[in-house]
Amino acid sequence: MRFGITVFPGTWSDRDCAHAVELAGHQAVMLWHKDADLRGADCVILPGGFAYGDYLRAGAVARFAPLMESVVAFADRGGLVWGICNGFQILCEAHLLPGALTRNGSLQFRCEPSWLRVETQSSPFTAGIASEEVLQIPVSHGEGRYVAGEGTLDGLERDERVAFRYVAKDGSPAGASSPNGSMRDIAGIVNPAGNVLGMMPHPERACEPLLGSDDGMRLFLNVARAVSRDTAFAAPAS
Amino acid sequence: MTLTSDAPTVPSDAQLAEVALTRDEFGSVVQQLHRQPNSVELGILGALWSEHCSYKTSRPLLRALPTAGPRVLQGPGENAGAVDIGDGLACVFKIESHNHPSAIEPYQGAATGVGGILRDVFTMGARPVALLDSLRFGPLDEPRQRHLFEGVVAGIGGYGNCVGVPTVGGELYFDSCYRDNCVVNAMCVGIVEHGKLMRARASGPGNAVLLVGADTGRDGIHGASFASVRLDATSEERRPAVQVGNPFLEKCLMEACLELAGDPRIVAMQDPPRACDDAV
Repeated sequence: MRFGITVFPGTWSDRDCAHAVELAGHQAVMLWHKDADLRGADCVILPGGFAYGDYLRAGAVARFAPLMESVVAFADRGGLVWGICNGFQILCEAHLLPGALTRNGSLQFRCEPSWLRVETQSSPFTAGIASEEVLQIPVSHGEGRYVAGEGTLDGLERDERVAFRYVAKDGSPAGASSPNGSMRDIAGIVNPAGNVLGMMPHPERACEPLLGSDDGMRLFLNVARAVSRDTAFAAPAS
Repeated sequence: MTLTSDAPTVPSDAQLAEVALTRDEFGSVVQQLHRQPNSVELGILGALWSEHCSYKTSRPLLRALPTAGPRVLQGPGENAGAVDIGDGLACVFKIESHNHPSAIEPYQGAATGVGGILRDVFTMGARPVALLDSLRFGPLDEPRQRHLFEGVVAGIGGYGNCVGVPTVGGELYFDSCYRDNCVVNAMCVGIVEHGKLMRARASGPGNAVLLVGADTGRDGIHGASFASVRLDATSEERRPAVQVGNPFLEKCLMEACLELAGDPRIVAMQDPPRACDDAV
């Protein structure tokens, strides 16, 4: 299958994402922010970085990029859209996902391993990964504290749209070990249809045992499985 | 000092202090020019003969280090050194201090230290893949040391995060001897194919010269010559001499330079604040 990877001027995780996609045995194509063409991608990844510098608010400018119009239309048609770190911030600004990412509770940049519990089976990104399993995937951000209104948070929990929650290494509640102080320890969420995922941790940095963890690879393989299952029944793309 | 090409006069002690040149050094300028420099020339010489650009104090020590070997592709004299690591690849690396700016404006001082060291590596055509730091501060239970320490750490993290090159390691010591002069060394490591290794030396007539990068602001003026000055109680007033970093623009600059590297139409690439060919 083909992963499209968005490239804004300040994107820096594009090469790491392409490397992970190729390790998973699939094709990666780069999608330049000024182009509207998604180049036949089966899944669009918005990787980490500082899209246009993020001197205003992370993702606030990026949502107006020509490429984003196509990404929003693709998501509305049910296409798989995966925002990682800055990509999650952009998806919130583009209103594909609710809530916002604010300065870490520590007010400091944090780059460290984090442990995630999978909280939903209703999204193709996480289907088949048991909730008792704890994934080790690193975070690297200064603005990753997820915030939303109480009603929104309750709705996310009720509809099983919390994809990942930060936990301690042994799977117990994160408590003070949360890397950013996110509300309800939320690390990632999906949209109502489950085809749009936003997450702060970087799965592309956890795809090889040499790097300390290959738990992130499971997400890439999950996406590929979901796409091959869908296209098995769908008419060939025109 | 007003920056005009006015008629040369013998500079006052205050004017020489501003460009951080000694009376002896000024004498040497006059001897080599066979005339008095005007104030623009004096400003340029202050920058180029500064500790920051010409390593005038540390050079004898640096010369004592080994620089030759069968795998050395580039020794001292360019933006950074390069060593053959096999498979047609070279490892390019450079270390540089940013002590003075960090001592009076720790966030921007350390951040622009990271920025400078990145430029030295990507102007060689190499993609930066790692940053490292070697830091020294006074005792952390002193509020000023804590301020410097937290600012430097935040500056390194903030700049490195935005530009997207990981800080993979470093070392850190605290000792009272660093109370007045913290030490902030930043190192960058890059990787390049042999054929794309760029040099700073250009020759031949008719070449176009492109000056690219962040806008020149009111920050950072006399920043190079400031590195030659002994830090004291009045150093705080030199805060505007510290440059303010623009990591996003440098990220764009890096990608542009790496796209150009290896193109035969590019004769040479140089990170500007470097004066002497034999700087290490």
